[in-house]
Amino acid sequence: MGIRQALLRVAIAAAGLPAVALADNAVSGLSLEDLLKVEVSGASRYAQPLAEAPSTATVVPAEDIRRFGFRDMGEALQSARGVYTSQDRAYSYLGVRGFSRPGDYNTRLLVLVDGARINNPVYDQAMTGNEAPIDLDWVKRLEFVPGPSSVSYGGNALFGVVNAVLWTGSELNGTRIAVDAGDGRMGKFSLLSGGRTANGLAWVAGVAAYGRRGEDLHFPEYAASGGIAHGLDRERYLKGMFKAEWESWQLAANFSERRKSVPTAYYSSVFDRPGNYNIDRELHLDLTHASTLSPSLDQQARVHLGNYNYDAEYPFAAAINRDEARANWWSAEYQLIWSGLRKHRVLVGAEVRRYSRLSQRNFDINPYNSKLEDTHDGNAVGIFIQDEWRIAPRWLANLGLRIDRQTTAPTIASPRMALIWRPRDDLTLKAIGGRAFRAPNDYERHYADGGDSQKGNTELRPERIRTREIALDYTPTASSRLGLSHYWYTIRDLIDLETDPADDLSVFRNQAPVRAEGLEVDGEILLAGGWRVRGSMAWQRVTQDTGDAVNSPGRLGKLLIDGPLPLAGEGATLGLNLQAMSARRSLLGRAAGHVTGDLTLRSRSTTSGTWSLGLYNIGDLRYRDPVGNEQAPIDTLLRDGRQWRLRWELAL
Amino acid sequence: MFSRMRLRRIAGALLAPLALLLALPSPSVAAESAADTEVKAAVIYNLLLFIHWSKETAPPKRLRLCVVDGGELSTSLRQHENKTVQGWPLDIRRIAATPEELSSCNVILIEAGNPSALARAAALSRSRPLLVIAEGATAAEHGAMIGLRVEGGRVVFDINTGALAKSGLAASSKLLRLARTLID
Repeated sequence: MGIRQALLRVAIAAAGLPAVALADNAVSGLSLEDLLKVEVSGASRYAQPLAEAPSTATVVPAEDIRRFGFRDMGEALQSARGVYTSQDRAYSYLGVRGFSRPGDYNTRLLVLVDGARINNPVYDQAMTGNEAPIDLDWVKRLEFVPGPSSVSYGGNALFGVVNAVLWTGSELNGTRIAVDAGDGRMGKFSLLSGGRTANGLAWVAGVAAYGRRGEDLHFPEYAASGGIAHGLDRERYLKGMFKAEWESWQLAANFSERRKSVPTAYYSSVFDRPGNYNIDRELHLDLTHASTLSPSLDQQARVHLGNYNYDAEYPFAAAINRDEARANWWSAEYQLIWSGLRKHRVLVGAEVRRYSRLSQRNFDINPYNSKLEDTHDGNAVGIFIQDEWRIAPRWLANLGLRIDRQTTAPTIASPRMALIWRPRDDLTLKAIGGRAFRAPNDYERHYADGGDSQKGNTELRPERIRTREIALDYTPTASSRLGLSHYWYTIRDLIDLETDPADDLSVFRNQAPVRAEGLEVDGEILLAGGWRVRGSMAWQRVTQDTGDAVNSPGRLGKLLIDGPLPLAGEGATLGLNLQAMSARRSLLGRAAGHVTGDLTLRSRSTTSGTWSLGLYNIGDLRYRDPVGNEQAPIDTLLRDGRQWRLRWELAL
Repeated sequence: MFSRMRLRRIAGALLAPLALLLALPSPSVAAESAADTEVKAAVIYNLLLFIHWSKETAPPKRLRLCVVDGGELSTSLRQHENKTVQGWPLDIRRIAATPEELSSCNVILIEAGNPSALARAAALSRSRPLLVIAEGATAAEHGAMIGLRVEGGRVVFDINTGALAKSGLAASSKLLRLARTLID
């Protein structure tokens, strides 16, 4: 008899039942009355069902990731209405609700892995491309909650929260192997294995290794230097993950290293010279505990340890310059969930983050010339309360408030109110209002490179967003769904890069208010024969004192179709992903609108594995993304043309 | 510029414990799985005993319970497969919520965090007999006939009697008495 069963017996005895009732077959012989008295454990009770979320959430399950051949988190999230991606061959960027500033590192989006924050503290960067610390093969589902969520998570949750839920050992109960090959001499190997041992320990371990040589890229902006960057688009990553669950405890560890060479000669380095690259290394350790204190009181605790290392080199004409950032931090979080009052479920909690080291260095290597030596530490503290109040049978209110205080910002309150009404079984209406914030980060406050290109600004104030949204969800039949959302937001004190005319240096400054309004519609229909059609449209207008915002498309359209692949046997699938985007303003001009299509064909699963072939940008369309001023003279950058990926998966 | 040696060392360091883990005793789910899913699975099986299917709504030969995008709970439910429910042997199926798959089910179980599947199943249940069971604190309000959740460390359930009636089903008085909340 394992410890689990022994504990179960104790729990049942405590509940006033004879422990004898538990024979070898544990609970399956108990009557319903007795079952309802059994004390249970496990983290799943805290999983917030998205149906009750005070927002309009999207879920991308692992099955969709496979069917549509999504290659990274950004690509998968782009299937949600109003989400778009861009990139500058150094990092990938996610735009939400028409907002994605070039040269900004997704700072206004919060990314969680199994509920733990992974934005790094130096740049506030949320990584959603290959640079992300997790591999997409480990993801059971991606949850995307648009709108302000500082009320739950503190800073950075201005436009949304992405939560990557990873597979657990008991769900996997076996091993999965995947081998990829693609153009540009791309290869990837991933292994994920998990199970549950006889004494109740569930474990899962994963490793993923990726490499791509890339193509020689042509940049007309550098025609004077030949215009072609030879073999400078290389990328390589190695990621590992381990997770163990035992009783009410869960321990997770995650390591990642991504190396990318940059072909664009940004920050005015020498074009077509090898040695312009960046490396991001991350280490995360996460321990959570969830248990029950009394029949109406649950607790949840989390301790997180993080380490981030960034290294980059820039070949300049006079010297090779090196950029470094280092961060060590830990955080602790505690929550109580109380359901003792009728019609209320109250959550109170506190979070402490301690940045023991936030340092940035910049220097020329040879001859050595130090330009920046900057080290700080810092703290952030937040307390929060949330009440889910069932006002009437068809009315639910969600009220929350979080107070944050951190070294680089004054005390900030982030409230959120949501009212959810279900006048009919097939109709849900939501009205949501909330505020969120982001404190200036270490990079924005202190980065300077000795008068070459950029200087710091310690006078920065936190930026704040105020959002209102009304949303509708209609499910007229079992095979159709329609969603609608209308939102308005205002950002005050937006932190953005500008050039100081006095010394021609880039500096982050608080900007005039940014106002936006948007409308999003999405629909889904299931057709006979197993076909599924999903589509969405988003209209948005983001304006500031200088006119329309940069990298903000006025219209976004998506069409995703998946179903059984004809003539390929039972279980073979086809996934078509069409993405349309209207023209975007760039810093100096504009990037034209475009429509791209990705097609993924997947064979049925046999004992010798599953094959899939993904074709990306089938039409080989030449489209461009606006980029930041660090890329000058490049104003818009060409995206990848047609690409392919062949994948073999085996489940053991 | 990319140090192969370094990557290899890291790969070695990562793969060594992985190999060790693979050598652990082979995983056994059936013997002892997580207590909460086991209890939930047993509760679900017991709930089925107290749902009244009329002559018109009764399944022909077997009672089929479908689990949408099933995870751990469906593994625990497997222990109850082929047990008898009011004379019918119980079938357990994992499905992906396509119309074909949905049409073959008598009971649908939707795990937490899947609002669109719940909405779809709830809509389907309004036109034909289909028992919709879902996890989550507000599942019963979102169209599930039985909403399962954990409160104060115990599994509890809510019943939406209105939704049951629309599908031509009824809950026994015992079930109504044991339910934490009743929604009309």
